[in-house]
Amino acid sequence: MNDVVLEVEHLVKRYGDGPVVVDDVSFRVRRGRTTALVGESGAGKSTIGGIVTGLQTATSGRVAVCGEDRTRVARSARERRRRGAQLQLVPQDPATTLDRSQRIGDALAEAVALGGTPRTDRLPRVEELATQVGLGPTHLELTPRSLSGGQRQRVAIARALATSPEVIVLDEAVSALDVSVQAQVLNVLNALQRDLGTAYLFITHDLAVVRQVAHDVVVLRHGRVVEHGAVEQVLGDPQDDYTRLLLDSTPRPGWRPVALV
Amino acid sequence: MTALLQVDDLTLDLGDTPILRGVSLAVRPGEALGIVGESGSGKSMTLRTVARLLPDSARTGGAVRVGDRDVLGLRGRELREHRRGLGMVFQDPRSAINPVHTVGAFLVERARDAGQDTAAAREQALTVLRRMGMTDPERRMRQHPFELSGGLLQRVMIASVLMERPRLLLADEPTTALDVTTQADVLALTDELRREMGAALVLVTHDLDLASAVCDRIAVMYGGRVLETAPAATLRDDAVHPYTRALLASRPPLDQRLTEIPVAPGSPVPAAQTGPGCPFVDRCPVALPICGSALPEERLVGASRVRCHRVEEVA
Amino acid sequence: MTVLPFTAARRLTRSRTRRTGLGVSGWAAVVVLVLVAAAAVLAPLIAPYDPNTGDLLHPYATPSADHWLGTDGTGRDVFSRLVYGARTSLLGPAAVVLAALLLGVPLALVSAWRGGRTRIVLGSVLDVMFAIPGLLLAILAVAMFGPGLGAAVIALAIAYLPYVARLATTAAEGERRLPYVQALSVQGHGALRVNVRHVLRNLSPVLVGQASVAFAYALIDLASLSFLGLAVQAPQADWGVLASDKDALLKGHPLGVASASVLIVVTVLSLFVLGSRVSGEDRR
Repeated sequence: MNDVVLEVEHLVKRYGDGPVVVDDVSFRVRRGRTTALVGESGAGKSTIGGIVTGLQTATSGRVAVCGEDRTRVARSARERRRRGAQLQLVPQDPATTLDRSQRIGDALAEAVALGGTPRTDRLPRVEELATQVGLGPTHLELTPRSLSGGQRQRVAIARALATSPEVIVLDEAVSALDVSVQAQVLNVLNALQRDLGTAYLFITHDLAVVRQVAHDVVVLRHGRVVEHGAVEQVLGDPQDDYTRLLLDSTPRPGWRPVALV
Repeated sequence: MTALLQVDDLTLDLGDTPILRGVSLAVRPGEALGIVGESGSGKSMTLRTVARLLPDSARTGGAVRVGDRDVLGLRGRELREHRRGLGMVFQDPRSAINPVHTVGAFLVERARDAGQDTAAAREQALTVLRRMGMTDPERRMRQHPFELSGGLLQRVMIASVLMERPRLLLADEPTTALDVTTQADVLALTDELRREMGAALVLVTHDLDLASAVCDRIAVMYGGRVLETAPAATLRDDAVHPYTRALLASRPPLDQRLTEIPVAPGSPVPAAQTGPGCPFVDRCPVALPICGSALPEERLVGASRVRCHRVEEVA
Repeated sequence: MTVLPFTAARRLTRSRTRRTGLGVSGWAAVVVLVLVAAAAVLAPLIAPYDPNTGDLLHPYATPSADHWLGTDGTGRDVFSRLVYGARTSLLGPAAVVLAALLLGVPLALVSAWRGGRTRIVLGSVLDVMFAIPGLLLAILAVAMFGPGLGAAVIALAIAYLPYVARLATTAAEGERRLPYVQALSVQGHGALRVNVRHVLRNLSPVLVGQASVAFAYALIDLASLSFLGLAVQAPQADWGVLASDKDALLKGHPLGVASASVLIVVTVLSLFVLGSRVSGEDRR
């Protein structure tokens, strides 16, 4: 199927002779859709994110973005830029997601320039990106220090959108935000997906967030996929005991914590 | 019944920065109060003021009473005695437990401080660890903190606090750093033990649903003030203050996808960035001009004690 | 809403006061260093006499309106020699620090960026260099190339390189791990751009701080070498040379030696203060 923008097949990651942290993981992300990788610490979800973005290498298995194999490291500047135009990253921590000494406008312009936009056309594009994530022209003059956590994550999203990528990897991108701000950012992400058709690989430990953004869910435990399917099915009628435990442990209205044994 | 913890019109400044502006709370013996808020609301600093764990630059006003002690005026031996009567649990247990001693030595020392002999202290430590969900407490007692996961270490921390049978337990985001399944387990076991012992609890957290699960009442803080206090059981349905409602609405449901999560615009503000009125005024959908100039006194609406000019219209 | 402008104004003043800047001691250091640098640059305008020609009829003159700090054994004006001495005394350390930075920082960036084997190899080379004492190296260089400022500067630059490189590597590794660097890489920016435009720029406060401290050490080391007669040679004006005027001391005229020593100490202290202020070491 050619609407698959990200394909991960039999991915394995092992550090030296240590334990296997990602064990035979396969999934796909379709154009304009969101796949969520869910699990607790040690599930291997961030390692998978690192491999997909090319920041880490896999021990074995295959990663393809827009049909193009990504297993080896980019050789030329051109290849690097093409990859950037296909897949982008929004990291977790709002405090370090941006270069602290760079003005927001410059950060976005730098990203826009990557796509080969001529200098004179950059500013309108930068302003368009800012508007898309709900920031105004005044924010462009500021450095990250003067922005709130939510605003910084919006900038990180705008920066990722600058090259009009097919897929954005969001690695716990809303986890560190206050709930009222988290909801704003989730709304922005959903609206952008509707308008632009960008696909997301959404890495998170929060099932309530998954419910609001994901179409497909991959539940990971100790590096293995324990359940994989449409979000309605996985969260509505989980087949695996661990998925059920995750669901039962997630606070919600009327929830009571239950001891494990 | 008289209150075990009574906070009246508490103000706190760190240097020139206002942190708390007129916080009032009360906790009865054996009762559990959840303080819920976002970053900058002052929830943690309220807790720290009760324990008198404040930096030197802190200036306080108002009154905090625990039992018959005036906490803000305590010094020296009295202050140490006050703190000893409290059980405190923080988000990061690793910074609260001495890394060079074994878990057993840590627990036994705490119990001996409370006046027990070594053998009895050891026995009690094993019992409490088992009650906190540890499968092999003898082995854990011989281990050092670095050998234990964050979840196990937090169980040790809570066990050590409960062993002293405090009248008042103060917990600041005790399970936030833990995985969800561990969080549920630790919460359930702690809750059971606390109720058995009859200890009162003040739980500071950003998670309303979590607080509602283990607390009797919830105080919602924003910008250094308490905007609403309500019974946990009815808060979700009967919340009055626009901020409480916004907070409830912005946590999306698990069972359906919303086209758009209802949100208040803007970000939470610390007390330093608020005016004389309601701190939520800039983000409030129903604010009037008066909301910016004065915060009204607390009023009882249904079961909620709430500070809002628009209670009639909203309720 | 009427409250908006109020809170906005508050926010502005708060953010302005939070940037504490250099503080009193930092600014005092700046003033000292600007004065010293100005003396070096404007020496011909400030110095009342030629530093190298003396009035042989008036050796060891006591301070007077003509000679503010008196004269030395050959009747040269001590004040003029101090002013001119600022030139070599500042130029030497500047050359040492610049050379150490130009070699050390790229090394650090490469080491931090590539990691793995590159880091181990470069780290081992630095460890070996660490083992060689700077002054010994300088004496060796002087033995090979003959005494003079050039040999001493080259030797000290090599001796300082591992310190500068080690510190810069640690800082660069910390920076490299930050998510924004990863995001930039994923975005498709080349390593050179990420390192120069982002990593180096964010390291600059640390590097400037380190450079000013290294400058201070180099000033002392070069003064010591001049004192030993290995760097700047005797007739030329230099604080190290001036501080080592043993004849003057023995004959009971300590003023020239004392003023040169005070200048060295004050300049070095100012550099330390400024260095720690700029790199943010003594801020909370």
